[in-house]
Amino acid sequence: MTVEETLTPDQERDCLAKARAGDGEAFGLLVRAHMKKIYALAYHMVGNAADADDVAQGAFIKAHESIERFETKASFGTWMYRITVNHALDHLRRRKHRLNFSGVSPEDGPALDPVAPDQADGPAEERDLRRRLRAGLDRLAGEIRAAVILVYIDDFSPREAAQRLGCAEATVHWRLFRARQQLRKYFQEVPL
Amino acid sequence: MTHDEFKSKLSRLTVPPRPDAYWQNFWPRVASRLGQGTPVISPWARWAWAGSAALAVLLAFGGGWFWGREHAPTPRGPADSALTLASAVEGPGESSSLEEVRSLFPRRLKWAAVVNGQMDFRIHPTPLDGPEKMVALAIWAEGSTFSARMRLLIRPGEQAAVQSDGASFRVALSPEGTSVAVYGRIQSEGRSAALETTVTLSPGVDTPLGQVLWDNQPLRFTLHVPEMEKAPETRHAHKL
Repeated sequence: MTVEETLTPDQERDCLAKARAGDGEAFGLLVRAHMKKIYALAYHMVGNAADADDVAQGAFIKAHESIERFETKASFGTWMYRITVNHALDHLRRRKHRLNFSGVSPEDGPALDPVAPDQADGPAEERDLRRRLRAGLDRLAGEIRAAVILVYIDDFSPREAAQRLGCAEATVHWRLFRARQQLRKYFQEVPL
Repeated sequence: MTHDEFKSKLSRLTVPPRPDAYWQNFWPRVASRLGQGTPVISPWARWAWAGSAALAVLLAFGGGWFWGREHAPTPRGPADSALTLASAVEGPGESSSLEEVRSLFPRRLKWAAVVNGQMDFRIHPTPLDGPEKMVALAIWAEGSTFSARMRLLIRPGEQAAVQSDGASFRVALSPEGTSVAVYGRIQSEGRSAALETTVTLSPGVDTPLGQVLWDNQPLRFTLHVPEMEKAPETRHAHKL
């Protein structure tokens, strides 16, 4: 069974046209072609597998609901990035609200640094570095975190990141500047 | 630290790999939620959910009034009688569905869970003393031929028991809300496998609970406790 699809630009356009006409199988091909990148983006945004699963699936559902409004001059991947980032931001806001009733509060105890299973691999030094990097990333506001993920982790240029985030290139530069400021400050407290 | 140094450091953050079964089931799970595959979440099911919730409120308040009338002279703790409701809900909306149930029954919810899209919950007939304190958990079992997941909202000291589509879970949260005992069982066509363990809650961390063999392949159980989001300029923390 084919798990992941690879589509040429022509095939993707064909799938898009069919999906917009209501062809579920064509939309399925688009999902299979982009699911791993979208899941990775969601994971970096929310920081754990369970929430990343929710966000990635939710992003594709939103895409399906609004595919008739999709402008074919943009690529499906670019559009999906934007939907996923927006959905992840909504998720982070809901999570913040949700945890307000879990009986925990900032005053309840000392800081707990998150560590995900992937960060548990490798030598102790590398593991610790990843844990601190993850903790630093989690401290950034959602919009700033998204810019950092696209440019520093996914290796997009600020211009490409701006297309995916639906903002001006200057805004991406500003968010990266703010991210570097905040991360520098954090890494002074918790050295890398 | 320069732009390039940040890039060099942050590019080390990787995404944990998921098994092939996860990717094989990804589109079918999305499709089922779109109503294109199986199981279909029909508009009727959504109305059934809304209707059931309304009925639950009526029964709960009616039951609470009746219980209170019968026992009014004698102050008592929460009774064991519970109200159960099961309904199909959407995966990405699971968290909000759990929140909705909690908000329907302020200070009365023992636990609410969604397992493979099916919701179940238990409530006390009367409001409990003290502040509302619920702990959110996610548990999933994942192997090459089987996967199941549960999202749970549970009050410390309570035990939840839920089952759906060949998977059943029993989860007991310690009275302090710091550790959880998990019993997970899967069964199909006369076969079964189970896992039982107790772990300390670690917010923000995927905690391996252990694994069982299913179709001669490892089936891993994992626990996740959501971590409170931190404000950018502060180092907030919490304990459960």
